[in-house]
Amino acid sequence: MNTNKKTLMAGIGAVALCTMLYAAHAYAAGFVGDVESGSFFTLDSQAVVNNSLSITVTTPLQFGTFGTVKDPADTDTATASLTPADVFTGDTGGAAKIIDAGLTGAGDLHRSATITVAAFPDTQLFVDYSGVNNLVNGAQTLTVATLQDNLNTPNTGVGGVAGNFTLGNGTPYDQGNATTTAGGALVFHIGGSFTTAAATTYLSGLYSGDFDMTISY
Amino acid sequence: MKLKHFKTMAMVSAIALGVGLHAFKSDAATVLSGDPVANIPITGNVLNTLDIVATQLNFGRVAAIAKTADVAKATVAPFGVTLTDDPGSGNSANARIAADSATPPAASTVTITGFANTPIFVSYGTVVDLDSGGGATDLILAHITDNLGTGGAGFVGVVGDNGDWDNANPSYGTGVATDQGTATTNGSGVLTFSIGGTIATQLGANVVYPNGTYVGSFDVTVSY
Repeated sequence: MNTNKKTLMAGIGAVALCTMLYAAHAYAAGFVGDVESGSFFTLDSQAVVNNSLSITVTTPLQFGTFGTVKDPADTDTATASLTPADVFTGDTGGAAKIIDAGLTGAGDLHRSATITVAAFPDTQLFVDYSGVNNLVNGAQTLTVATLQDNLNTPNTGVGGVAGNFTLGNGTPYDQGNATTTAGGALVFHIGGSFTTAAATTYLSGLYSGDFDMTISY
Repeated sequence: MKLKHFKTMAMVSAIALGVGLHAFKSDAATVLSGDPVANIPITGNVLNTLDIVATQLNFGRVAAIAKTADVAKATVAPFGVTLTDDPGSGNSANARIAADSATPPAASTVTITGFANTPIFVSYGTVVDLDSGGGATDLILAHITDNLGTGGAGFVGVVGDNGDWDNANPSYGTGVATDQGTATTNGSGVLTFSIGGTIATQLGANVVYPNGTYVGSFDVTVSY
């Protein structure tokens, strides 16, 4: 009898505790009210997904200052490149030429774009490119031929060679990837190349274009 | 019996709590941003500026007589300091341009500074005859001649004489306006060349040219 009484009291205590926890949980989740024992109630819930990436274009893609020479026969073109490591290579081998001006002013230097991304730690990010607009000054155009970053390409995987994305045929959307650091940071660089048009004597001046870069998890 | 009932109630409560937890709705998710897109500017600065220093093409002091049916021509060669004149035969029907050795001519010297070891192309246009400004008969600027070589395919002209300009009167020249010379800068980026030319008397009138300074011009286009 005493044993049954203790058991009964323990059972009552368990139910009371369960009810208290139930009520406490319901209150914390946003429910207040009387609930008949044995019935349930519904609570709304929400989650805020924040997949936003902080992207900072620390420096734009700046091919720097150079001269151009037209092919007298109006057929040859010249192509110059700038690596992600800021190495500019002109084109002086043919009839048309692109010559490094060798100037050292801030606007003259050859600088790849520097991109700084803040995201989740140790997480792979994918980068692709689109919407390339050539370098234009008035009626004259320098055609953006390639973009080149120092990310891994999908085919080579981690530790692979630098990507080199050819922008031909309107499908320049090869994709590079890399993994953020433990601090969630990723810094990479984008270079590229451009080509002169045949039969064009380029006027001095600043030629401007742009491209879009999409980063995703 | 009661004990069993309480145990059952506890189990029902626990199950009810579990069902309640699983019944939470999740219809209020907020995505701040999916695939971020950044626009990245590209710039390139073309510096095709050439530094040019040029002296005047000076034919010196001459005596000039125009005749109705005859033309006299006088030429200063590139880098030249003498005028190859046309003093005429003494026949009253002959036009004449006679040089005055006391006031020698001088070809134009053009110094261009650009990129090192780089070809530069030179062409000419917009020739204006030499005029005294007083309505007198012009001295026709009939030819422009430089000492540049000609370029490759696509260029018209002869090495050393690639300016041969038609002017107001086509009888003075047979060249075409697209003639073009070319030469390569040296290791310091300097190219020096010279431009000479030919003046001619005007057809159609018997005129002793009035004294005065006759001024004309022509355009020189240099490009990479």
